[in-house]
Amino acid sequence: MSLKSHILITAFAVLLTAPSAFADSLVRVTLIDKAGAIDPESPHKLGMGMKADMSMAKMGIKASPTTAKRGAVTFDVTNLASAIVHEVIVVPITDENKVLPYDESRNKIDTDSLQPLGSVNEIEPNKTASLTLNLSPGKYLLYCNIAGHYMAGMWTVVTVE
Amino acid sequence: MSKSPLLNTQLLSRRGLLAAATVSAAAATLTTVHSASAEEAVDIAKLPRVKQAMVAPPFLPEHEQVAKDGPKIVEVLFNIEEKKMILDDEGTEVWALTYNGSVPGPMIVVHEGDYVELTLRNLPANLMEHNIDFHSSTGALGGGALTKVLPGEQAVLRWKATKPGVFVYHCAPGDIMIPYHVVHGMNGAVMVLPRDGLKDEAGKPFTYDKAYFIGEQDYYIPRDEQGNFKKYEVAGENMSDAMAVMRTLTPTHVVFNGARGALTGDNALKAKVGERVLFIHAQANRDSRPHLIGGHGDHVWDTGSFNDAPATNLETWFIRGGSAGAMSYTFKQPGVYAYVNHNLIEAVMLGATAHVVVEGEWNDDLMMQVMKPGPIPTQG
Repeated sequence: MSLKSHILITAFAVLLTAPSAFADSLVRVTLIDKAGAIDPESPHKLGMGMKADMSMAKMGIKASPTTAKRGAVTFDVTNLASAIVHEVIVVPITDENKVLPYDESRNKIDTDSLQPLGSVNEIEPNKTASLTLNLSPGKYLLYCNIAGHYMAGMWTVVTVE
Repeated sequence: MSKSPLLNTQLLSRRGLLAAATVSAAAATLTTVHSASAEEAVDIAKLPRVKQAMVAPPFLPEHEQVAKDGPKIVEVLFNIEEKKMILDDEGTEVWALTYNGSVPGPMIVVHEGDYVELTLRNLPANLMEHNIDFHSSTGALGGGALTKVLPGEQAVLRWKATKPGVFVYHCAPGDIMIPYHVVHGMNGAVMVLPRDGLKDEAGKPFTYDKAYFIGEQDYYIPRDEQGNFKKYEVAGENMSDAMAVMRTLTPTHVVFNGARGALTGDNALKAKVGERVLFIHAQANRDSRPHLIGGHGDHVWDTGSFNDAPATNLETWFIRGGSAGAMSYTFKQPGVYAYVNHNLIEAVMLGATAHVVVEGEWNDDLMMQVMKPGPIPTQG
């Protein structure tokens, strides 16, 4: 099954997206690029559960706060990158020490075993977008699955209590 | 000299170029080739090099008012630092985007004909791309197209100081990030002195005893539903909220040197009676109208150009948004002077007030209190 077919909700990257008033929890998410180009052919090894030195990350996602209350959770996403389009996919996980299956040939997470709950697709540089999901308690991985980005460090975990 | 097609694209309007998401690296490379003709390269290689140690405003780096020698290369280092700063005594926060950790960034002082060689370093802990546009420089969007650096990167830019005056510099990484970075503190000023120093209105040599750099900053801090200023965990996180406030064109704070009270109380500027003090005032975004309460603008270069004779004896002068200007005053009375943006709402309610504490002897001829305040005498 393709990744796209998993995506249930698509938020539009618009310049001014006010936080949704009805949301019970707000998590601000920033998408970051750092020095040094990533190699789209050969993955870095900075994925979840790989115990990598994340200070070496070329890309990243920051979420604050990293915990949210069960129910409606709004992710306000800002792409701070100046030239690179990113996306954010939200998927429930059971163990943040577990290494996710990876498709080396496409340099992407192999999504067949994952069940994404929603995503913000193709956020242009300097743009913001918003996504609201109804989440039950547990851990959720936020990641970007554009080729090479996840292994370059573009993921974070949010806990719903 | 022939121009490449890419260089010709720089004939496009500035607005058009700014609207483009990125100015191509190819253009930057070609520009470098364009500027490095053999002759210039030899000359520059022979020039003496000096390092200019940056100091936080309101102070200026050590400098000569009249150049003793010929042109030189002045090496400067800016470390870009995204840092949380407090704006007022209520604890309002901003994730400031700074050159060298201060708002405004440090002032660079050179002479006409000197070269500024800036190392622009984006510290690894930062989250955003930055660059710098020097209004005092020539070409490549003021250097902006040649200095885009991601966290963990640095670039070196050399530009020739061809116009004497005071000039703004600011970050301009593209699109909406240009105003966003500028109103989060990422601006400063350069002073390019004529090689033989400043001149008064009659063209006579003019020197100052001390100089201060006042950077005026407008901030647009988002509020929550209760009207309280919002706080954020990391730089950049306030993007959508801040853009909404910026669109109102109504700042929540207008301050000197980064915060309300940064130049009052213990931090007040100091002078003595008889001292001629040069005040350089920069506003990278918004018009201002400086006024020295209790004094005057003896000599005012309000456009910032030192090629033009200064205006004299002004009560209030004008700083166009996106420019710097200079004013000198020789203090004649001791006491506390208030240096304000004479939109008094901005001065008093939004924060744009500095104090100058002046020591010396009071001059009764200039002013005296003939009668202390008291009851109105009954008519006999």
